[in-house]
Amino acid sequence: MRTGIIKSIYRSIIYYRKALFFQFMITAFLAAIISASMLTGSSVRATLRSNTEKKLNNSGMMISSGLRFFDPNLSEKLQQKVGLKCTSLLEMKGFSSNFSSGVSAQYVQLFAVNPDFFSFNSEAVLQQLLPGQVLINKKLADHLNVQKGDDILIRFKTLSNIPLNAPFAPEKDPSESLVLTVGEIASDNPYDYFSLGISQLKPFTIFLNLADLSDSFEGSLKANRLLIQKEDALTEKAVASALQEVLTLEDFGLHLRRIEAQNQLEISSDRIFLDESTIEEIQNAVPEFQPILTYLANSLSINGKSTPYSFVAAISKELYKQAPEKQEVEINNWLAQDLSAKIGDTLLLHYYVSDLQNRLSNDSAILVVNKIVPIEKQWADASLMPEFPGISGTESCSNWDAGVAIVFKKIRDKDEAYWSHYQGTPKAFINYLTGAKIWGSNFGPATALRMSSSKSLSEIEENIKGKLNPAKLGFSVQNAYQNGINAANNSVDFSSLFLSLSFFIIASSVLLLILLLSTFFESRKRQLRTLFALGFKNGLITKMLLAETSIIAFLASGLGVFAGVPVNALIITALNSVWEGAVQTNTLVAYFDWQMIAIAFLSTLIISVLVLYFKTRNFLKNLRTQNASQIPKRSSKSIQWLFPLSIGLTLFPLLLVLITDASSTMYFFVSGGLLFISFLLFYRWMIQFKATSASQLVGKKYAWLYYAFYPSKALSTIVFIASGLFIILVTGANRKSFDSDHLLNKSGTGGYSYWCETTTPIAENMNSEEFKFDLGLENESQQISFLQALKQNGDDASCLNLNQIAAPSLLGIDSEILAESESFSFASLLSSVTLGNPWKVLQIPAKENCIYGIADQTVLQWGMKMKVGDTLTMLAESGEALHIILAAGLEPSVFQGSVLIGRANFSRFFPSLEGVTVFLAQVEADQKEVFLEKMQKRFRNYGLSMEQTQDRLSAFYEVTNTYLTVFMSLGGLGMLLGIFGLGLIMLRNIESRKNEYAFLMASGFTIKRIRNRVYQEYALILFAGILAGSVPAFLATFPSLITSNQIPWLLLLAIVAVIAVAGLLIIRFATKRFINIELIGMIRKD
Amino acid sequence: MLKIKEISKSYMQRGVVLNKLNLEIRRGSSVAITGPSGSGKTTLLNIIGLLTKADEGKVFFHDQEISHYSADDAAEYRNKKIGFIFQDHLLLSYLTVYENIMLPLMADKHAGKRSSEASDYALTLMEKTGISNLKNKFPAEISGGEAQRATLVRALINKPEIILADEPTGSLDAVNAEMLTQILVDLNKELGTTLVVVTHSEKLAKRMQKKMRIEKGILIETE
Repeated sequence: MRTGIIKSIYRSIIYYRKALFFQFMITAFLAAIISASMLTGSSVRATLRSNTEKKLNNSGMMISSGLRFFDPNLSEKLQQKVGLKCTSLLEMKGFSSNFSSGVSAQYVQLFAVNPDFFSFNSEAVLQQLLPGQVLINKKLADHLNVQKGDDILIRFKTLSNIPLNAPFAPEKDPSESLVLTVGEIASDNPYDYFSLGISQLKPFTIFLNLADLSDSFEGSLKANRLLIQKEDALTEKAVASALQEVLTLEDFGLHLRRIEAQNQLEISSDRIFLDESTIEEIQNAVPEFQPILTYLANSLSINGKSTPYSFVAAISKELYKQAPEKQEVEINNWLAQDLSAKIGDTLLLHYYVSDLQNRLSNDSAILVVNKIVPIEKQWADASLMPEFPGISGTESCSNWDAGVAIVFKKIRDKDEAYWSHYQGTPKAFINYLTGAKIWGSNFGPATALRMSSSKSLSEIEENIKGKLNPAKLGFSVQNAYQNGINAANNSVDFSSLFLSLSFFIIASSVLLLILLLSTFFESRKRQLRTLFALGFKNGLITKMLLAETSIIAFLASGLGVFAGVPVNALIITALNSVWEGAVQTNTLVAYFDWQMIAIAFLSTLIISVLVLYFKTRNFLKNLRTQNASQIPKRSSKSIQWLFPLSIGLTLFPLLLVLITDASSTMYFFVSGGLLFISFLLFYRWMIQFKATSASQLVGKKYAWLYYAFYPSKALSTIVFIASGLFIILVTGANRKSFDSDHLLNKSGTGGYSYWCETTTPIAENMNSEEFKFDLGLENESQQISFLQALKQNGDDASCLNLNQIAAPSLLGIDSEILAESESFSFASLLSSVTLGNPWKVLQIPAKENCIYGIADQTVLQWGMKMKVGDTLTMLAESGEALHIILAAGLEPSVFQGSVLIGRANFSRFFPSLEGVTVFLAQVEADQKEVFLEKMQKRFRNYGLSMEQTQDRLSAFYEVTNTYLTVFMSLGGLGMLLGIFGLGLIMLRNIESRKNEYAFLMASGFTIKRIRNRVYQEYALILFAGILAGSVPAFLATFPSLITSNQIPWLLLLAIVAVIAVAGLLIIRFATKRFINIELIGMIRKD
Repeated sequence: MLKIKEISKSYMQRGVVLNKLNLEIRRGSSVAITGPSGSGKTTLLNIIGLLTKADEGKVFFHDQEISHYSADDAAEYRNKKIGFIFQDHLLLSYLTVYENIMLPLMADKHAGKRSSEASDYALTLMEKTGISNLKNKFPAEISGGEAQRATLVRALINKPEIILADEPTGSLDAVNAEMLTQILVDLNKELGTTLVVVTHSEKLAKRMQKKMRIEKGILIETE
């Protein structure tokens, strides 16, 4: 019995091979599309992984000291410890120019390396760089148009151990420059791609000798990154542990010395100030160490008498038993004499203080003199003054470069004499707690740690060694290789993306499959009825039909998925060329992936078998329950009032546009949608109307009667064509572009005209009158305003980067300005934030290292794969964790790519980042030319890049717009496939009307006349669909169409034209092929 | 009025169906053509109606050869001179009985001018055949016999000279078959319309003036 059924299935497949061949082709096509989409996603990720390997070459782990520096010899110590090659380097951002032509490049990554760097990498292109030479990558060489031997200028932010904005840091030029010779150009080798960041874009890169930067660190060499050779077994924890063991105080920029006169040991920092976590770590290792803070007071005054510019030391009772109480001050007898002070007098202390944003301002404190001490023993300790570079060692006070405004005329001869004799010996002593409270800043609450001890330096060093946690002192250990691979693996999912973009093709294929099955089953109706009559059970017939078609589905899915391989190659080629805007690179490579092939095979098989199952079941159900007599019904009266109602509703939003100032985009879209419905209702009404008139006249218009009886036969086709076209056209035409609204504060530009970035930080307050005067724009002062932002470099989280980003750039902004101007719009907001304007959330001070942040919704969703309410954890400068609660998502804006935090919070967690490197400028249109000229002149040495905000947004929009183009192209292809479906629908309708056509022939119609009638009928349906899809789409996107210069008119028209032409050809073919003289044989055979 | 000379027709699968067949039908006569299944009855009817071309031989209508007619001329000949009745009534389900009857007028480009006259004629015929009460009914709402009577009226609407009926009673029960047979005979007499009926039904064949049988591709007059 079973054998018989299997044989019957086999015979059936052979007999119906023609019909099943079409099923095979459609299923194979579906499999090819699905597998191509899956392979595209796989190829993009594989390319990104390959890029990670290329750009990191031999690097596995990376140790970063963030914004701080360490001794590059650390790599040798670590190499011995971990037994893997290590190399130290200094990573910076800068800009470069061709020294001869002046052609420049922004955003250049600079790597200052030791010779061991070249042996570290597996591909030894170069042994070493000669002094004064650089190795640059080909992209930069091409951009600058330089050859080997040419000179280039590089400019970068001034390097210094001491943060330039720390109190009393000497004034330095904000940037340094070097002229170096191109020694080698790296092309398609590890140095060409080398980058520690996560991006698919090849950067501009320069390698230079670390020794060439020694002047920046007073002759010493410093690094901020350490690379460890890739080794799978090595873990971050093991590296951190090894690092902790080998790190010495010197590596941290800390110096231990003995103060013989005081029998004390002291730890000081290259950075002058010691931050809280460093103090805590050292105290954990050696609890006897106590902080002291020596500060420069602008004046010390008692009863109208004043002593200028004196050092005051804040000391603790733990270290100095006689240290004053919190409100007290001890003064030395020189000061007492100068101020005629006595015990119990009130001393007014004036000083500069660094606020939360690291800006210096005047402040004062009142203390009571409780003791007058002689300048001897601990009171004569000049070493209490830290090594302020601009002060220490100077012969005269008038030579001070204190980094703060000094009124030199206030310095008297006796002050000079004191300096000459006692140097920086403090004239007054206060309680440490008081000192830390009034002078403590983001840079730290101490200038040294001291302990009374007779122990040797080596003993203390031994005590400390291995006990300082590198993570608490600004070092971070990252598995750079694995992070890169993870970012690639979690990158934008092109598989899902292309499956979505191929929606119309997939939907059309499924529809075609359904139609094909209907036709196929219809042709077997008689056979199936016979099987029922013979007593075959419904289940068995279902199984037999399903077995036949499923075998075909299995074979087609299996072969079709391999057809996806060349399709994927085509898509990758398109992404590398015409669709490059979506991926921003032309380096994608098509990869083969068995896993994706298997998923595509299973997906296709499941989809097709489900279609087969439901279609078979429904068909058999209808076959069994079909009633020969149909209740005739021509139309519904309700259409008569629904159509005018719909037209009225269509006009209503347009009227609103005319009488209100409301944004018209949405109203036009609603109106377009309603017009779409109106068109369908109109067609329905027209069929009814025409049918009524036809029934009176009879004659030529009888076809209307057919559609009045079977309106769905016309309307379903119209709806299919119209809805597909409507969606494709609306999506394609609704491109992101610019209009006058983009200059509004609420827009993505925030109302700002320029987005500017500099390599060198700008310290000035650009909104101040002084700055504008300096710029030469004092007359235009009112029309120009700035929004300055501090930037902590990170990976680009914008849509231009395909990778998932875990450490995006941070921008510290003055959100009050944005709150006041109500700039930008929000796409999402944390419900718990109730401060009125969402920008205000950035002003909330940190609580337990938690702050609020805002980012573009696009950045959150695609770049970081996070959402509002999630917490982004990053490393602060000190190495401590900084938790950023994402409080809001912005509508697409110029800030895309970065996470925004409040400026005060930024300065707290990244105190060393001085000056702004990002700013937005608001300039009136007529001032732009002058503004540009003045800015270029003023910041010519800052590596200034300025771009119009709308150009910046355009770059982001290009990604979206390219996706829309892909959607339109694939959608058009899907529609084309759907047109073949129209052919099948026609075939079915012709099949069901064959008796009618045969009768018409018998009644005196020529075949040509019947064909023409049928051709006209379907052409009318086709154009009705095109009209119902395109006209409402035109209305829905009208605002875009008249304002945007991004509309791909040619593509839009081509899609409509191709659908029309292909439709007409299919109709012509179907009428010619299936309406012929043989129809007469269908009336009755002998 | 209708002469068929030396007509031959063969099919790939069935071989020779008609073999140098001759036939002459006089105006106003009624002819029954019988024969076993596959003998070529319907083929002969289709050749007369110029729906199928013979491999050999000629067809004359009023002594004018029509077998070489172009598609347009053949269509006009069918429209003006012929009325077809099929075993399956072939009424269009989405048209009312009246609309179905009026359908052949469409084939005539000038039918509009005489639509009023044709409408009256249709109502007269409907009255005669007893289906006047079914004017606005759809085919699904009427019986098989009523549908076949409507088909008959539709075949007569253009006042054809010949009615070609292919198994007109084949799908009817005895009562309805008898009723239709009577109407056909009456109309033949009353209107003088020539009647060529292909049938298996001996009862129907006997009611025709001439009875012929196709055997081995040729016609044999049996009565």
